[in-house]
Amino acid sequence: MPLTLKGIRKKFGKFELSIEEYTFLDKSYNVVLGPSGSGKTTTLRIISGLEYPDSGRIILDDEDITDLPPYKRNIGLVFQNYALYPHLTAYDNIAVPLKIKKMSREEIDKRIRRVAQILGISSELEKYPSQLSGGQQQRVAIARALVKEPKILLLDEPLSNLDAKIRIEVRGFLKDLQRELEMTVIHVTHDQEEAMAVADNIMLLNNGRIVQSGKPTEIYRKPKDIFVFGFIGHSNMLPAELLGVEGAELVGFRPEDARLVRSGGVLSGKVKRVQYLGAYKLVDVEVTNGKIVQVRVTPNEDWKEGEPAGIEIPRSSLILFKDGVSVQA
Amino acid sequence: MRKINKYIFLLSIPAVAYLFAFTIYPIISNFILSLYTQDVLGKLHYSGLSNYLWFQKDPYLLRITSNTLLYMITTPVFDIILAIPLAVSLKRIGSKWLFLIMLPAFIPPVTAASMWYLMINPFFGLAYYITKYNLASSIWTVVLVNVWRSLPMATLIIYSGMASIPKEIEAAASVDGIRGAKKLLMIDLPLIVPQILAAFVLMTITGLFTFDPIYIGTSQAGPRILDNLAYYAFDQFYSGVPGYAAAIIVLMSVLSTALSVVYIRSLGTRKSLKLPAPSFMPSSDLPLWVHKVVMAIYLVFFIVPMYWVIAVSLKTPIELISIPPTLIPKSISSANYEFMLSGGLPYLVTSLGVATINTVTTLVLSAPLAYTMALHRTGGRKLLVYILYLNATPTLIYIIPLFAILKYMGLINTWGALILTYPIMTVPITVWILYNYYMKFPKQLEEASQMDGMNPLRTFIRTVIPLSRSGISVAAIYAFLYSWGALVFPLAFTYSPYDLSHPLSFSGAQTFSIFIGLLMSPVSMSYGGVAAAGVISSIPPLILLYFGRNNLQKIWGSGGV
Repeated sequence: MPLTLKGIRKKFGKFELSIEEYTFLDKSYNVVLGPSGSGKTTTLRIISGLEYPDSGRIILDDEDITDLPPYKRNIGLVFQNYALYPHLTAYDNIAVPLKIKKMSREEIDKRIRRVAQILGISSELEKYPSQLSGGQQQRVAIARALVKEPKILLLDEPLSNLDAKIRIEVRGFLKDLQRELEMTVIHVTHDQEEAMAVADNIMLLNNGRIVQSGKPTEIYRKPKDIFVFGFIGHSNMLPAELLGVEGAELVGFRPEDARLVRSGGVLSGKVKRVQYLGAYKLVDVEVTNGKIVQVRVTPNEDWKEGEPAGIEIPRSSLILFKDGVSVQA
Repeated sequence: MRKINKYIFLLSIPAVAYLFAFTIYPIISNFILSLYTQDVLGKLHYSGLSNYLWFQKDPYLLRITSNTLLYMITTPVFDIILAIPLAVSLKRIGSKWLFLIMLPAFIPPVTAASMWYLMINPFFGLAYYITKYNLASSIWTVVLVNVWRSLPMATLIIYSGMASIPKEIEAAASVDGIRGAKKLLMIDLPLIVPQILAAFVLMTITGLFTFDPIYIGTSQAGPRILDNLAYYAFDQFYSGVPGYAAAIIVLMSVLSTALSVVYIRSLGTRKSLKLPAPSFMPSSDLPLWVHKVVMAIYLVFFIVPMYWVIAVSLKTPIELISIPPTLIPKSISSANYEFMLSGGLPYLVTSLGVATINTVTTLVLSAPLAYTMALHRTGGRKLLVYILYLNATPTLIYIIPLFAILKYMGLINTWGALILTYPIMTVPITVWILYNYYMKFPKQLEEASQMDGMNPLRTFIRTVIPLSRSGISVAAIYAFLYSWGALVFPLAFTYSPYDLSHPLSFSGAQTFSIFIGLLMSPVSMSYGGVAAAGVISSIPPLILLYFGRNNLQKIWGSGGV
């Protein structure tokens, strides 16, 4: 069920969200990614109907839903803090959207049992939200959003209120859930690693504009501009002349694409700092004028602070920028 | 732009339409009326500014103006000076005592005034043991009654300011060794300047519109002795000079508008003030017992009049007029209660009935409006300022045009007159209470309801109401309190007690407040009856205070009402 945003504009003081045209990938896991203040939450709220755009149209399934209030759009939203009704049990929380639709009691019960089973909360249904853990509360919130069988499921920063440990587990679960139900999910986050991990497709926002969209690998490997390059993953950025590259002002490359050597290399400098991260090490090398280059090495390689080091970078993994925009080498 | 949601419109329009019709129209109509005079036949004639020109000739006006200024200035000054030490002790001892301190604010104003006049009676009152002077003829007694009844609210506002000082600042002061009086001057008072200012202005407004103590006290002191502009305007209206009354009311409206502007500004202010803290100021905490003594003194001040009215109400008719008065009744009698109920029942029925109906009406109007104002920004800042303006202006200024409307509708001297007009005094205060309450309501629950398919009306009924019981119960308590103690509207719109022999006519609608005033008048003077009526009139609000104390405390503690 394709969802398309057309000419959406929304102003808040100095900030303006502006999306010319964008269609979310159907029956897939979409991520809206961006730093805070980039307009990603506003985008989500406009889709849900909680915010009304200054101009533009929202088309869902060939139907213009722009003027429909949230309660008439068939869209599920899981709030960042879950927003469960504290005076209702998990069961009654999940039942709310169905009761509003005046469904029969048996049908409601059947649907709740089914969604609770999918989400693994069948044994928590009689508890109140305050008696549930953060993760369980989230599942109840997801169940409440899913039980009405919405056309789209919106997730607002779904992992931000969870402990670092279960975050990875939950993001796997969310992806599995999307695959199982074969529905369109739109997940909003500021965490690029999280986005890369779950997304089929990423919409990357900055300052209210879409700066790039596409598959995670595309965005990582072929960033359209300096912002995208710097925002996603670890990155190095150097003046082009330092690497003897012509036709560009700046050159970027990823720490894992470079190699540290004892002597030689296109760049040379001194080891400034070594960070041991278990699976790999990140070595900061100071090259000319105090510029730092980060290189990823295997944990067994032994580099000491102050040691001289050379850096080798295959030409093919360089990303060239002119006027802040990526150019083909 | 998106259309205004019809459900939000439906939720807010009843209260907004009511308030506009019943406040803006009277203000305009009152101004027009002030340009007319009424002849002996009751016909109105246009007379230009003659009512205003009469200000210069009115022989009483000088005295009345000086009384008005005295009440207006001394009430807030005493209130603030007395409230600060009490708030400090309260903070130290613990807010559990707040409940006792709030007692006087829950006594109906007419009852409060009667209590004091009973107590200061030079022969039969407690004053017999204290002074030879007849305090009843002094205008300072009016100030005393004002302060007794308004001090709790002033204390509450200042206390809630102190309670909201961030813990980190308290901790920093403590680490820096700033304590006791020095802390009060360097930390506490400078940070609660906005609350002190708000309390001062609110009490100035209370002082400016002093009415009930004058109504009760005039029968003891004599005509015109205690009058202020508010009472005088009412008196002129009552004695059939509506044009001149309207002119005085226009003058008061201008004054109250100016004051309410200051009040609204003071609520928005975030200013703090640096106070000099001389080095000799002790920088150590006073021992706890000092705070307890302070608290005890205040409680004596608050509770003695209540004790006295109960004691008097239980005395036998003979003991009542014995000189010297007995401090503790020698024998307990229910004679006063029987006497009082024999005449007072219809008044009591009206007060209970109308106050109950108005509490429901008020909530039905206020809660949805406050919800849409807080969560959907209905009316924006303009409506909010207007609500505050209505809170800061006395209902007295509407009586003349309202009287005309009620007369046209044939509702004078019926329950209908009171049911239709009481929301003017209760809707603004309850909207303000609930607006502040709903500002803290988790917006996401409201949005979650919409995502679950509820329109704003259903959201309000299914999500908001069940989760705001404590706020609504506090609003209900205030709505009842104001309706139960109302005096100006029943005085203006009714003239006989409820006709119990034809109960379904609902005609005759004088309230219990009026009954107390009647018992207090020199003609029917009955101290025992007044005392018994005073006790009875205090019971319903005190029951509400008792059962609502936990919810009240939550609202009081978080910024006050």
